[in-house]
Amino acid sequence: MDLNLKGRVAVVTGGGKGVGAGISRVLAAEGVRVMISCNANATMAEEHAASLRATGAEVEVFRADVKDRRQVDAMMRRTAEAFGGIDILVDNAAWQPNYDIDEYTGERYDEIMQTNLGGYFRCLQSALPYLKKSIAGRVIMVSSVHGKRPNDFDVGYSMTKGGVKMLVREAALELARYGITVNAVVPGGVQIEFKSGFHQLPKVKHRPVTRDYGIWPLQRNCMPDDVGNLVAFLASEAAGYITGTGLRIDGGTMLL
Amino acid sequence: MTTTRRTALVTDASTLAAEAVAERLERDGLAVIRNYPDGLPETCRNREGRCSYRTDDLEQVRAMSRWAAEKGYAVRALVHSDNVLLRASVEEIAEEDFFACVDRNAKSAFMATKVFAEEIAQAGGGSVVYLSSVHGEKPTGVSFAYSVGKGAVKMLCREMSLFYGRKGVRCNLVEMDATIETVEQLDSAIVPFNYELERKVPLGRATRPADFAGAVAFLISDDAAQINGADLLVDGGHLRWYLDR
Repeated sequence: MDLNLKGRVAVVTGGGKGVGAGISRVLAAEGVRVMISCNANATMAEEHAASLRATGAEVEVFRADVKDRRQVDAMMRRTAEAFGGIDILVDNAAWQPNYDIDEYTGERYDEIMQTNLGGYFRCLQSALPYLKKSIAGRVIMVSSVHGKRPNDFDVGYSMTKGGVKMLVREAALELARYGITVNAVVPGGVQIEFKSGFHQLPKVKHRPVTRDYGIWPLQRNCMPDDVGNLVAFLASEAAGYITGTGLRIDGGTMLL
Repeated sequence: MTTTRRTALVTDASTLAAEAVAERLERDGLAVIRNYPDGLPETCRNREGRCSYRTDDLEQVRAMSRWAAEKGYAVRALVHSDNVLLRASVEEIAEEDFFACVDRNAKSAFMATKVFAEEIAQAGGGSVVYLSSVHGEKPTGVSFAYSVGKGAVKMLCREMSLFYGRKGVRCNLVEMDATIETVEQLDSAIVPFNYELERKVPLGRATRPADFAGAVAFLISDDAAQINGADLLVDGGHLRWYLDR
């Protein structure tokens, strides 16, 4: 694709692994200069960044915990210093520990809220002064089908994604005056190298989880680059009149 | 309506809607505990069934549970009714205010469910109703933290309808529209949705607190025995103007 994104600047939180790696890979391939944020997996992020630089992409890595406002602010400052501004924020860094409600302590609840919901809000607010200066600011939040359909294995995760749905809608209305669009991509399952957490995924506790792709409409799983392609489209001028929406990317599986 | 004799806990009885629910449930024959997280009003002191515990703190909710047991209440219905709106923008809100608002609306629902839905399940079953808002789907334009909290509560309800549904606890959600009493809080230059509220509601009048009370009473009653995981919109049809539900 050539989405006319060359030279624009993106921050991709959690952009060094999993879905985030697919997003940063596609954006870099489009000529976007990418700041990849990471927290626990700095080595993976550096390796991923090196692989992108090998293709000629302009990529930096910044270690920041999205739960920490000072670290987030420092990341946005560094991005603007390195690349001259911020045009695209991709809120992606999230935690899915797979606890049922009886396994959530007060501390665990706060942890997931501060990461998945607080992190998205914090990064948005911190990036906003830079996005306002962009000719076409874009905010894309990676949500989940579990912002609408329960998952039956992690109530906290679903709650955060239900919150993200509303954060997108509210921010889209509020920030439209600055020409900033705010949208969500809403993946189902994505085939990634691993997920962080304390249980193996999926935790087959209450119901069977199928991995029989033969019965899935497109007969394959979603790949990180599939999500990256959608994010790149939403970041482009072609998506300039799309705001406040959530685009499901699940290969039709949620229709089954 | 064939409601059996049970105790209902109303987690924040300080609003007109929640008080209307409490009064209706009493008329239906339930004992009602009214909690006031922000402090017991003077008029409630020394009145039966009144208490004041923070709902966004797990230990406080557990303390409320112990208090209820000591007083001889057997909670069989939980009505989560914490609805606190904070007018503040994404751009300007202080981070601690954002979390205070989200916690008051969503964490309180989570903690009340964690403690009381489990108790209800162990007692043989019952009902949870989240007295929530249309703003779990529709943006306000003035209080994004409130909407974020209500979006989270909506997913809490759906997850709990699975988790506790298997344990005999039905979990449902009432989506409250603005009332004459609350519409000023939602006044927004960005979202003039509630402008001329009465004209825009197909039934020709704004929704009243008693309308929510009827919905909650129904969802708690045995007449709703097979209703679980539902979002019941109580708005007179107002949200038919809104697409994205």
